[in-house]
Amino acid sequence: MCELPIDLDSKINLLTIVITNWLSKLTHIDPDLVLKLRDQLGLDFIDARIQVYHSELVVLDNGVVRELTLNKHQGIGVRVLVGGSMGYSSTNSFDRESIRDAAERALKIARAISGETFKLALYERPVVKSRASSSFQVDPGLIDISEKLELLKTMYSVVREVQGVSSSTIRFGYEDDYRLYISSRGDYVEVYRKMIGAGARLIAHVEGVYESFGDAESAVAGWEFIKSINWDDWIRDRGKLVVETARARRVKPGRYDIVLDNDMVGLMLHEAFGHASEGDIVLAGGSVLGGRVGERVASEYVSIVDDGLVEGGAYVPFDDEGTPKRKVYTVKNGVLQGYLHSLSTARALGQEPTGNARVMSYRHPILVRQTNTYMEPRDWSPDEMIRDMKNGVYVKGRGALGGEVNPLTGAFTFTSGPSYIVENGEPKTLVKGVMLSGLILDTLRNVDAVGKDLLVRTSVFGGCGKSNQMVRVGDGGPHVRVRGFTIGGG
Amino acid sequence: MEDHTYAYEDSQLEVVEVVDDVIERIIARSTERGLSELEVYVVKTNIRVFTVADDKIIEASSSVDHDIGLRGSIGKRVGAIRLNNLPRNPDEALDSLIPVVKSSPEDPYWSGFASDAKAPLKVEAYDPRIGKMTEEEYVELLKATMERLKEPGLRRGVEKAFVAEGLLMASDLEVTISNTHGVCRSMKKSIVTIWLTLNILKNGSQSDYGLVYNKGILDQGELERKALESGERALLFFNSKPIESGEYEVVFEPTQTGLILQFSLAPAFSGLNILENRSPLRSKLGEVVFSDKVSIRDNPELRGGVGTRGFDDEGVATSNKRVVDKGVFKTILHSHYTAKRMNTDSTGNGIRTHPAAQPQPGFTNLELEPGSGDLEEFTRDLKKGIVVYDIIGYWMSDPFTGSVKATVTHGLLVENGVVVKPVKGVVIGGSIYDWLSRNLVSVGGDSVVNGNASTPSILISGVKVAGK
Repeated sequence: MCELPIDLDSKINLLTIVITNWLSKLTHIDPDLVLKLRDQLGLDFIDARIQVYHSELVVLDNGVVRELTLNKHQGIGVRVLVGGSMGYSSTNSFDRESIRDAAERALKIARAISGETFKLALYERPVVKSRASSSFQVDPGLIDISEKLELLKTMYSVVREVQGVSSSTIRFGYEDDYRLYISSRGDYVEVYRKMIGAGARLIAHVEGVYESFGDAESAVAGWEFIKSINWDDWIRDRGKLVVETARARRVKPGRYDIVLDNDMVGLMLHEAFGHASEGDIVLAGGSVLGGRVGERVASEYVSIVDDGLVEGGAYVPFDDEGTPKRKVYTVKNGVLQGYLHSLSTARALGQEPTGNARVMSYRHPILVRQTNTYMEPRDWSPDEMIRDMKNGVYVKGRGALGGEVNPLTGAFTFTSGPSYIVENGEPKTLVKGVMLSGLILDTLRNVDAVGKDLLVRTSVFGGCGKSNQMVRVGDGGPHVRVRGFTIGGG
Repeated sequence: MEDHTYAYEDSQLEVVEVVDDVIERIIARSTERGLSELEVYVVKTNIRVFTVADDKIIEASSSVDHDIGLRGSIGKRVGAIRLNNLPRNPDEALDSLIPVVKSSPEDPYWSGFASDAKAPLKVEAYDPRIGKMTEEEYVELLKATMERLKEPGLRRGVEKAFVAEGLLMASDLEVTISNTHGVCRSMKKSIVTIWLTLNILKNGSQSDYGLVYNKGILDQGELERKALESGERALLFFNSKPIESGEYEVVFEPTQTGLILQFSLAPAFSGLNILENRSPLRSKLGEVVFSDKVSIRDNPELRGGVGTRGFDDEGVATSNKRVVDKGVFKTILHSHYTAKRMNTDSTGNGIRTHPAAQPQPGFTNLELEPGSGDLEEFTRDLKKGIVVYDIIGYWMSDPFTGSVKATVTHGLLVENGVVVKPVKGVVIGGSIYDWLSRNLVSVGGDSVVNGNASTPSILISGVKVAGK
């Protein structure tokens, strides 16, 4: 745990200057405000999450602008702890009176549940005073909207020439997310993150058959990321793939040996393991991984990491309780090491906080969330792994829609993009409509080869949903082989 | 628990205090600033959330939020901004909006915002109790519901029954839509969502089932019945496992029918998807597309539907209509924009994903009209099939192709009308167009309202199942 000294007298700091001048309202927030509220309202603890969020979304639908929206949201969410009861409230005004009203509402609702709750407490970690910013070279906010539209229009003009593509929805998005965390314990943590990306959903209509395919590229970066990609080639390749996929056959339902590519491994780990390792689910008795620390839950080749700062992933240097995000092994060499934690789940389960307390926005309550979930690489090359499998399915992630898990039953599922039937060690036949399903405690035991090609990705267009909150996450890994996986789909 | 009766308040209300004053001033100022048109959409939400874990209410929140969309046009250029704070000075908001509009390329199809032609439908969209109940009353409601949920298991002697996780979310909303063509509509809406996962343990085995209640009204009697029913269902799934792959008959419990239809089919009726060549129903208007057992309504009057409303997100009056009439595709759903592109009138189906988004055609409430029979009767009729009580991943079905995909987490394998064993972890798949035509055996009469769908059980033959 760290305690980093910063100069709190400089009310206008570098990060706030970087964003935009409507952030200047934040400079009125007194870091001692929460201390005063704690004393005035007789609270045991109070913290506040202040957020200023700015995003831009441009959508070109068959060449016509369907959406061109700037989004500016800001507000402050407060959490109070009194007599072991926890209450939340929020306001979008930064004046002292509104913040006090919110604290009073939080106190009122905390008292309303006081007879029905556990006596909650937070892990007592050292005070954190710090700030962190993701890096970027060119601020997308300074790039004229016409340049962004030109990017999308050019992509449209390329893909409309691909025979068989009947519809294209192409989008550009970026977001600035500034968060300030203050607590009555004395924490003061600022995090600023910039994300950017572009992508497309393409529909092919070939010989009476429709097929759709969506893909995007995102990064924690600035406009330079957009300039680093040849978007003409990118969309042409995807246009050709969706047309080819329309002609492809569907996979025959059944059990297969599979090799998952980098994108699919991340998705599988996030669903098949990550959610069940979240401390709030474990604490509630809702996870099949509950009470299994120290047990073998995966093959010896499997080590799973949650890391807020891995290259290619989402940027989470601190969580929304101001706790530094540690690189955490939830599984090492197949053995369950522990769970992901907030301050309250760490305290309740007698473990250390891991920096996984996250909120979608200032309005939302803390949940334990993954940051970037990936499998550590080993020594197989992807080609070698597929050759050695001989027969099965090479499951590809590009075009996948996502996944879902029921952590209590352990059943999880995810879709893939267009994938390949492997015959005699070679990816031969393109197949579509693939949905994979498994059971948490079975699947990772069947991993028998892990590649050396680690890749982690994130997205500015989506993330992970839990209890009506969506947060940005990343996932990935090397190529991985799993024996006996259920594959179906329409 | 008592089943309270209460009077509905009229969902049209007098325009609300300060916000309306600001809206009026922004609209008035917009033309002076050079905008051809302006539309303001404001949602004010008073929301209380109670979170449950391990049989306790572990935390709660209470907030009032605003979400505001401003869309403007200059000629055929259209742009929007989304805020959560409406500045009192109209120029402050317009200073943000106008550069966005000006930098937008022209939409050749743009025909302006909707005008205020028809009176809204009179509907029951608001349950005032949801906003008026105190925090303490919600705590009591939640406790009573959790007790009902556990009751069947405890009565049958399980070792432990507890609510592993869940929440109660009560929202009281005020929605206001105004534009420079004279549209000025407001409505109150209410939504209550209760989701509780019951976990039960017996002889070293575990089973579970989730109670889901997601409606525009709070009917405590119905909630109590659903809690007891969910508690009974949790007893069905001890030691569930995947089954052999193959083709099976499948019965979908009413709520699961709704999830399948909403994600694999509903967007195909959108005028925009038809115009943009991404709907399998393109060019099929007036044709037989499903079995004659299938009639689907867009029903904005549905009692308890989350989508129940007198006007759509453009202020256009909604209407109760069949989109599929005994298998025949009858109605394309339209927003104002798509209607004008197809030289017709809006059907009152302009729905927004957020306040600043362009409304796109969608169902208010999707209703699969009931037939006859129910879940139990269909189960008895099965030769060899699966009764599906809960699914995950259904949202990854593809409405652009009609491809259905889902994984069964709670199902029963039935042979000759007798339950053989519980099932989990199998993938079901097929085409919704096949399922609702040549594969459709029966549509039940046991409709259930969940969210913005009202659907009964259905029995489908020839469903592909991937398991062992």
